[in-house]
Amino acid sequence: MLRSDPIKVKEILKHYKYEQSSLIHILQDIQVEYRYLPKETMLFVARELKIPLSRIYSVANFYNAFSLKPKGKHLISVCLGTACHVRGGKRIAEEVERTLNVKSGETTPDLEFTLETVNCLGACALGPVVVVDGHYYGQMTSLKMKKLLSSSKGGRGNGKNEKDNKS
Amino acid sequence: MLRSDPLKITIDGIETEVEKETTILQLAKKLGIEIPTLCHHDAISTYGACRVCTVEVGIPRSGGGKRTRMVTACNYPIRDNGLNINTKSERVLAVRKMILELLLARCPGVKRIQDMAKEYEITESRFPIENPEEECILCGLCTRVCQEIIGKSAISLVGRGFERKVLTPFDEPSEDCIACGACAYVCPTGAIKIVQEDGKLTIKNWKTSRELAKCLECGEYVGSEAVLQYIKERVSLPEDIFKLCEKCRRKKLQKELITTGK
Repeated sequence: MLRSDPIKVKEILKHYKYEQSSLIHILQDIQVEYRYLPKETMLFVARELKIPLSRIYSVANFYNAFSLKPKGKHLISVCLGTACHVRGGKRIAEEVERTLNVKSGETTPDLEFTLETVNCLGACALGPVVVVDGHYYGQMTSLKMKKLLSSSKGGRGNGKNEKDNKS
Repeated sequence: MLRSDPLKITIDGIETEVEKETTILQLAKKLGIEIPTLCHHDAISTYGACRVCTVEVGIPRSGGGKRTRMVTACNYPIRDNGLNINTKSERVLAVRKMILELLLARCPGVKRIQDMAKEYEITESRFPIENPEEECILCGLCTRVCQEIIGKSAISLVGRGFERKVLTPFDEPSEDCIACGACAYVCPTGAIKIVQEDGKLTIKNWKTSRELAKCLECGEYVGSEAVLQYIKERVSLPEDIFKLCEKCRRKKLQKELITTGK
């Protein structure tokens, strides 16, 4: 289980010079560090930056990039946009749900995988598309998905689906 | 500060002069023109959430023509000469009717919205009612009074779209909330419920309870302990003010005046 470590958070805060206006950057860095925003970390940030906790909670809830629940090591995004849907994206999503025993938006208890469904990744020609840890996999089938899942497990992953990962 | 010349504008056919940056609502109030509002309070910053105060504004263009726009009167500062404001045009009434119908669909049980809608001849909404118990219109007036007037920021608007709600952080009992009840006082729809039981004041919406202080003389409840403490920290007033209820304080003062007067 990931524990939030105040030294790490202090480093992040110091990096942004304890600026109240850098709240989103700070939360983003915390999200990268822990793959979610732990409650005690939000309390700590509120205290250190002298920002009301209610405001931080509101910001953390507003943006999709922030999660209040721990996310898995590997982020799986299954596209259910029109083109992918027509080509069977729904079946791929169901395959993942069955294999990992989670629903869309949920994380496996071992914190390996987080499944989410998205409504178009702009790669319709590849449909049905699945993105795992920033890699695009086109023309997916249930069988390919199964293989992909078993090969991802245990791998390092970063829990992020950004193509070029900074820092 | 340098005062600019007053602007010449027309509102509902009345020609008048107005200081720059005055909002349409302020001007209308001064002239006795009624504009309905829900999410507005004179002491709290405007937000334009309820849209009920929508009016029609004709803005003169450089070419000589006019551009007509629908704006919320509460947060539209008057900045142009020759503005033509209409608070009761057919278009305004149509828009306001629509807004009230939508509000009525969200909060079918709220008396204030029902009454307002009735004034515009709406008794029923043709839109589906999601939750007949809903009373909050998400105007955020409670969050603003808590931040601006009380200075506690115990609550905020949380979530997006139809999941939006007013909540305390993590939807748990709040440490910041002192149960002052300002939120319930300003709420236009009465969505915030406060109950008093077992010597405690509980704001149900925020799941927060605070002990009530008793008057040392008569034993009546004076107010939430946390509120008294908070006031004590901010103002310098004699200690006994915080220990007595309003009536006993007056009695005591009376006695003092009589004895010193002799």
